[in-house]
Amino acid sequence: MPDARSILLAWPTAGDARPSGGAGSGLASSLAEAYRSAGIEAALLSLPAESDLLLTVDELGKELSGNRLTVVEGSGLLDSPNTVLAARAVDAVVVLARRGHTRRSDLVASRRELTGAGAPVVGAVLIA
Amino acid sequence: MSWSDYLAILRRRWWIVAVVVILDVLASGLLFYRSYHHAGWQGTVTLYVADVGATNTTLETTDQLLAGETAADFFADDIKDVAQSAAVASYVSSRLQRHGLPSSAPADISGSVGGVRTDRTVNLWITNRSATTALAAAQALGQAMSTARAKFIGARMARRTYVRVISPATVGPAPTSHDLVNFALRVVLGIVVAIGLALLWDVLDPTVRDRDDVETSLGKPVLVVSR
Repeated sequence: MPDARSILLAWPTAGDARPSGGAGSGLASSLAEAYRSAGIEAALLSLPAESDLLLTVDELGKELSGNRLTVVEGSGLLDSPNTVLAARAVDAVVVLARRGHTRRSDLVASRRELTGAGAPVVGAVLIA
Repeated sequence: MSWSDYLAILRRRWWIVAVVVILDVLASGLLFYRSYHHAGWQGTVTLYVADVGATNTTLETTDQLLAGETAADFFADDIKDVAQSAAVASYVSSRLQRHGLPSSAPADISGSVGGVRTDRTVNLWITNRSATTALAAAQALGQAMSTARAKFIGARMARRTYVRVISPATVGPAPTSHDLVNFALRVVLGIVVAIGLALLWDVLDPTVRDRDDVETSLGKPVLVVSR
């Protein structure tokens, strides 16, 4: 992802993210911090998961505009329409999966959602 | 799936294989130990059985000769089968208990008698925890099926047969080779079951386990494996 200016990190479902500080939680903020430590201006954008806060691609485009690199922290791809919308607007989407927790069927469904949305999926991060 | 995939599953589910194999070896070992220690001693006696009617024939023809041999074979089979009956066990037990021998109750004798026929020779054996009892039981067994056989097969049949002890009773450690084979078979079977269980467990697990799982499901490469 050398040219990506915006990266979305998203789990297949919100339940895959471990909320209480285990490995993999806060990965987006850690990535943004790592960029900043390397001298790259980076911002962190957390997407609202609730459907009544549905974003438009244009609204998200404004958030992502500018020269800074933006790490977008998505929610569940299968739970949150916002995350799928964001996947269309970013330069790269990285799907997160947790070993022994994330279901293969959810990954397949996420792949279908992302492909249908034309999202630029570059790969996955497997949290052991 | 290739062999490496199966090996990967076994590496991932090693604890299932380990638990099942350990339990299997413990259970098989316990059975072997009990079997080995309960096998004890084996008294053996060999009988010769003939058809008395055959001696009265002139045996002039092959048919007559074969008929006599066939009848003797049947009688020998009967002697072998009857020797394993509860009535014979009770007879043997009563003979032993007169002498106060250990492990000589009918329950100790019943089911411990075995036999095999080869032509007109019947080899009978009896196992017991006590060597003395095993030897005395083999002697009583030989007596029961030779001189006292009329008690068990009836006077008429006894008259038609000729039974003689041709090898006096002997005693030795009960063979355990079958138990060793059983032990080995149980362990091998346990390993097979353990591997099958691990594979089944893996198939039934709906979650991702490794890089391949994620890449196959998502259709994209895994960039990082984070711990």
